Amino acid sequence: MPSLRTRGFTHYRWQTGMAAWMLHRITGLALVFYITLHVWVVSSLQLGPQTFEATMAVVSAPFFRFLEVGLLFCVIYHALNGIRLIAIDFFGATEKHVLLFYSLGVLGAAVWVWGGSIMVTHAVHDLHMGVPFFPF
Amino acid sequence: MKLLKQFGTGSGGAQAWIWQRISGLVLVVALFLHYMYLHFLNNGLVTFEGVSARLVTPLWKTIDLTFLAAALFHASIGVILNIHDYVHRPVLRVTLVSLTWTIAVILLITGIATVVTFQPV
Repeated sequence: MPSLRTRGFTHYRWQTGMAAWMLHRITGLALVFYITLHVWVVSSLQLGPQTFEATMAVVSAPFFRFLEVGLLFCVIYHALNGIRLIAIDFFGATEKHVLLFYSLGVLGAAVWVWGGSIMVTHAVHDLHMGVPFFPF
Repeated sequence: MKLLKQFGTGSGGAQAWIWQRISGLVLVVALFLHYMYLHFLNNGLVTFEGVSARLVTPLWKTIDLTFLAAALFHASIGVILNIHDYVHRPVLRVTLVSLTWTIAVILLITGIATVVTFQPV
C-alpha cells in the first residue's frame, strides 16, 4: 500500500461526502487560527479605549475586510456542514446527505454573498476615503 | 507506554463526538447573534462605546463567556481529533495534545479576564 505521501490526494475518493469532510476540516483549522488571533486582539479592551480603537483601526483596514470575506466563508461552511452532520448522526439523514449538502450549499452561498457584500462595501468605502489597503 | 496510550487511541472518542455536537449547536446560535450585532446591525463599525453598551449588561457578559468557552472547547476537541488522525508517535502526540489544552486554557483565561474585568469609560 503506497503511503499518503507518495500518492498525495489521489489516495482519497473524491465524492461529495469526502469533499464535505475535508472542507470541514480545513475550515475548522482556519477558524482555530482565527479564534486565537481574535481573543488576543479583543483583549486590548483591557488597555482602554485609545488602545482598543487603534487596534480596531488596524484590523478593520481594507486588507482585513477582504480576509473577513474568507473568514465568513469558513464560518458559514463549518456551521452549515455541522448542522448537516447532526442531521446525519441524530435524525437519520444519511441517505439524503448529498441533497442536504447541495441545499445547504445554496443557502450558505446566499448568506455569504449577502454578508460578504456588506464587508466589501465597507472596504471599498474606506479605500475611497483614502484609507490605505494595508494597515502596516 | 500504556499510560501514553490512554491519551491517544486508547479512548474511543465517543465523548469527544457527542460534546463536539453539543458545543457546535451552541456555537451556531452564538455566532448568529455575534455576527448580527457586530457586523450587520451596527454599520460594521466596532467601537469601544459600542462594545461598552453590550458588555456592561450581565446578559451579554454571560452570552460572551458561554460563546468563548464553547468555541475554545470545540476548537480544542477539533485540533486533538486532527492530532489523533495524523500524529502517530505517542510522545509527540501527548506533547501536542497537552500543548493544545494549555493554549486553550491560556486563551480562556485571557478571554474571561477581558469580559469580567471590563471597565466602561
